[in-house]
Amino acid sequence: MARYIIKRLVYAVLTLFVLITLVFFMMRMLPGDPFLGEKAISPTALANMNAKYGLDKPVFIQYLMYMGNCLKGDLGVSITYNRPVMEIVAESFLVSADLGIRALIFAVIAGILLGAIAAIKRGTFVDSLSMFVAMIGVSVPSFILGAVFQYFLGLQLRKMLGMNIFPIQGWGTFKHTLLPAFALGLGSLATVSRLMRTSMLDVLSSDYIKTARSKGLSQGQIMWRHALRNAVMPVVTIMGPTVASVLTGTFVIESIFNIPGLGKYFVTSIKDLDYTMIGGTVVFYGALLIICTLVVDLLYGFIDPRVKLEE
Amino acid sequence: MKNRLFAWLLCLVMLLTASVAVAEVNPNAGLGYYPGTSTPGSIAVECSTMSVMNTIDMTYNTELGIARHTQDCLVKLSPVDNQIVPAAAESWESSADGLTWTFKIRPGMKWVNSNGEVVGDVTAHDFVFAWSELLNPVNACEYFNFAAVFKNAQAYYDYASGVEGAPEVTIDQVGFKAVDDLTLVCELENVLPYFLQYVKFEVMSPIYEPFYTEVGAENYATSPDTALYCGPFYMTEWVLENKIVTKKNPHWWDAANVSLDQIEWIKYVDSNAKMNAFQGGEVDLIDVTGEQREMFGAEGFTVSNYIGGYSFYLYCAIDNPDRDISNLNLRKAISYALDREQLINTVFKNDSEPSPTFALGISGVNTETFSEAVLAANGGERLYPVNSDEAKAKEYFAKALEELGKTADQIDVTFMVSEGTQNELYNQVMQEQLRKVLGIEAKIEVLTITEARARRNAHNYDLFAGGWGPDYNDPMTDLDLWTTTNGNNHTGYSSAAYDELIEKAKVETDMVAREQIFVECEKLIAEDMPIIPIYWRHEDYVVSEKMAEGYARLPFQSYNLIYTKLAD
Repeated sequence: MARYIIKRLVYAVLTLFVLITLVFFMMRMLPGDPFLGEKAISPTALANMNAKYGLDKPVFIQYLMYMGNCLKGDLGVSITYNRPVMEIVAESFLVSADLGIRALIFAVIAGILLGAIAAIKRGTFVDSLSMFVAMIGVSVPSFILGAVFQYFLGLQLRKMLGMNIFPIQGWGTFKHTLLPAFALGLGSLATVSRLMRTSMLDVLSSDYIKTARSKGLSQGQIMWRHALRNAVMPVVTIMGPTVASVLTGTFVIESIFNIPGLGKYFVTSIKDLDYTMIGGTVVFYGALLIICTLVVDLLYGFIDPRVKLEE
Repeated sequence: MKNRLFAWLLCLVMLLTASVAVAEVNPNAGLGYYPGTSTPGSIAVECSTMSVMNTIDMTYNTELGIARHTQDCLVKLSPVDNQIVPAAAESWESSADGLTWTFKIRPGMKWVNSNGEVVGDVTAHDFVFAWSELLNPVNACEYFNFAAVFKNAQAYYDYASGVEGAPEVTIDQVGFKAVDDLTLVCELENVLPYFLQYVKFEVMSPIYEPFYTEVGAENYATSPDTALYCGPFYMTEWVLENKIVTKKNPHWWDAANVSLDQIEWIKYVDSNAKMNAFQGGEVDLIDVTGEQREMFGAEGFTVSNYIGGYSFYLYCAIDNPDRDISNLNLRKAISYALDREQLINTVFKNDSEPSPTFALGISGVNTETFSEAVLAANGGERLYPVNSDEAKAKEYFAKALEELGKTADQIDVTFMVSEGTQNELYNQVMQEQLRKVLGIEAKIEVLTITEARARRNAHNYDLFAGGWGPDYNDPMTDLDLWTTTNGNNHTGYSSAAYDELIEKAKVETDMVAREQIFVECEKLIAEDMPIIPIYWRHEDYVVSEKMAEGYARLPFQSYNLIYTKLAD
């Protein structure tokens, strides 16, 4: 077990190393210059700006310096915001993660329940209804859901009732989290419930369930002790990437609800050619993704003893 | 229909009143449509950029707009008539030769922190220190050139930057000195009739040295509590790329006339979300698009508009003879073929005007605007047409074809476009207009903004839509762009006659004669056409009924909300 974890950690570091290297050189190949604004800068001023961010040195030296700093946990100073990248990422990640966890809790609990019920009540109205909800979640992108929620539940409901139930945009109070978490979570909810339904149907027709029934266990006990625990495996599998993507925020939901999360920096840093910020967001996202996948692999072993972690 | 007509009439009235420049009075006061935010004494306004709050590092109009509320420069612009009024300087005088300026700092001005507590006095030393930091190459300030007007400042900057062969100059030799706590003496390198326009620029705000050294240059103004404030408001909260909260500074010298308690500056990414927020009473002032303007108009809610001074045009890369666009007659044919009015109505759907001349937002010496002086000198004729003038366009086009030895279908012209829906539409309409009038199949090439700028700076394009906003109220801010050596002249235009005119203007002290030189510059641009001026931008915004009056949006003052009065 320990050997397995160490091995995976070494792989993780190697993956990160390759990722940083690729991103570093790829972003240098993007056309343009981070200081290329609407108005021109005198050559002396430009040289000073390049010197300030270490861009006056040969690219390979910059790469070595960047790698060295990364090892020390220093992702540099953002060219656009003139403050440490770590600070910006940390601040905005807390917001994205806060929203993401809410969305995830909603998606997982509601998704598992919906999927399980659909499987148990297979072929009934309840099944069709829950799969209809899942279909909407899968097929309607979150930015449309977000905009629709904002317009109808935020603006129109307020106009109708004359009171502020769901804030239209912003961040800070519990109320502010409701609509974005719902919009963000619905997609994952749909995936979870569909996976859950399929796997639950499989499990329900397996022999050990029949054995359990013949033992005379109650329906509740069968579902809770035998069916759910086994059926939840595929859901756990997709949790790794889902957690990473939900936690780091989404550009669209954060834009629509004006939430100060990490999502926008993935887009704006590339547009602004803010090298340090591009690097910082990629390293952070990469590390998080790798950790989440590792955690999920480990979780596997705990949930299903048949899975062996050693090769 | 009646409602709409009424709205348009109201717009017209608003426009006329705006043109005599009074601080705004809300055109929708008491209508009961959009009452605005609910917190008493506070307003929330949209602000599109707020990346940095260290005044010496600022470059964006809107960032400068926030600094206008949190810092006091030596002078400010009045929200009533956009004229220079005293701010941190109580009074000033200049020597007979115009090279030495002495400012008397207002006694009793205070520095406050993010809790509104007094930290120290504002003195002449704070200006000297801020300007020294602006010129410090280590800080790499983009707008250092605002401080480069002082005697020896450019020489100091070059020397300190390690420019080869630059003679040694120390910061003490630069032309600004605090004679005592309340007297600041400035010496200029050249006569600058518009010097006060420079010191009103928020990049030139003072900085309190003891505090700056305490927090460290790299941390200064990266959060509310790492900066100090001497303006009408102070910052209490800053969520990066999201919002900034400023509260009334009770220690400001004119605080008695400030009735607002708080301004919240919000950055929106999504235009529909912003609209929902306005309609739902979560924000009091937002910029609106042409479509949104129509929607408000249909409701009978008046949309306000202002001129920020931005003039838009097509850059033409004219210095490469292999490019067809280097042919003057082709550029003239294009200018006459474009239907500027149709372009505005199709793309922007607002009050933006087809440019009659190039420079916008600049005052004239004896006329209200500089543009009027140009038109007067041109016999009242516009330099660029409103609608397409097919006859003239074809006449110039025939000459161009003859000179180039090509037929119409061989003409190779490409619009280089930076991505964005509106931008692409803007260029597509022009493409279509050229096809219709000249029979040219112009191409469109869409690039990211950074790549487009790189290609523009390398003169590697045919036509590229760009714009320019003035930094100070003098034609020089627009017209020195097209001199041979100006870093913003991305056209390759190099005219000895033009360069000479600008040099003449730099030393001419008679204001009327000087203005005439600039008029000649405008005419020369129209003649040589390194750029094809297209439109003058009018920017639309709506204000909730909460803001009754006293706010202003004018050239050089994207926002002036200091004296906003709220509805009861």
